[in-house]
Amino acid sequence: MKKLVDAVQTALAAEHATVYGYGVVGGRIDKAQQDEARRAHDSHRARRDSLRREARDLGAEPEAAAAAYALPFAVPDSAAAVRLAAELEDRLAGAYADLVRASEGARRREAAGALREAAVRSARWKGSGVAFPGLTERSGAGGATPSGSPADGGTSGPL
Amino acid sequence: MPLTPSPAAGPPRRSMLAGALSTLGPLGALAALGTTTGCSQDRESADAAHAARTEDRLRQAAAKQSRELLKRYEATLAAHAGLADRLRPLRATTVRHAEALGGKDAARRRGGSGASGEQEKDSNGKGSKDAAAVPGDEKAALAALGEAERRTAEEREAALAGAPPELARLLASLAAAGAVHAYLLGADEQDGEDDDA
Repeated sequence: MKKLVDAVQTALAAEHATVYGYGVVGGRIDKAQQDEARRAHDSHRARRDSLRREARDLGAEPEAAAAAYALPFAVPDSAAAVRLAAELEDRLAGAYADLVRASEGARRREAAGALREAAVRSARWKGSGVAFPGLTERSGAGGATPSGSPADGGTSGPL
Repeated sequence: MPLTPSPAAGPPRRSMLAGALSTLGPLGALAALGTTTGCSQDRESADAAHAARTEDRLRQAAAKQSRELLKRYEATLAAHAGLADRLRPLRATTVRHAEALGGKDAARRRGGSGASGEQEKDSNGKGSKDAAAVPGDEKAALAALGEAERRTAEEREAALAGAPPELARLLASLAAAGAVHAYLLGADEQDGEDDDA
């Protein structure tokens, strides 16, 4: 139970970071890709909202968004924005993989679906995939760097 | 909702308690944990045996799926040399998937010719047969591969519901990887097939 709440909160924190990150992406990405970025942004907001509800359903106070997040690298142009979008999805995939492990039934299915969406979006941005989406321990070279699990949520956190 | 996680799946009791000690605030919760731990040894070991069997079965089924996919990649590569650059990385990933699921068995059959005598039934009942029949047209061959990836990913997403936690996490990752392969092969996944159960 405790583990489930933690995993929901971690996924929620990751969605907060992702929503923030897509705000940055949207401001930098080329016009041609803006629609796709906006769709991703919307879908992450929806996921965030449903995780908030889940946290409440489990009796927890939903993890709040940080006021700001440290970007993993500078995002001066559209190419960097695309890289950031892929990075956001890769990190998120890790949180959902852990949520799959911690949950059961419908919640687990939902988390698996969110993991799949994150992996496919990442591949759309990058043009390639990783062998084990969300499994940081298997990512090896070229995979997403392990996130610094911002579960403690200060006013500013790493993405 | 019980305070203890399902016995077969949880970490060793000691580490769970230690974890609870370090993170769980109220002492009341800890005490409640203590009372539920000692009294159900028999049921726990029965559950553990059952969970182990389930895990084994799911793992083997998933490993078999990966080998089926691998055979499709081999056959497609053999029929379409022009697709080699595109398919090789996906095939390599599929080998890693089979290894993650099956260990030595997967490695042994990796050559692609193994297991030819055995009729591996997949849920569609026609796995081996169309693995052999690669469309003559490159585009159609890619589409067929992508379709096989997509179908396998869906089956894995369905299977993970009954899997123990760690295997469920692996299957979810493999399903996501399969959806990515389908996308990269041009058989895009449609949103909306999300929440069917």
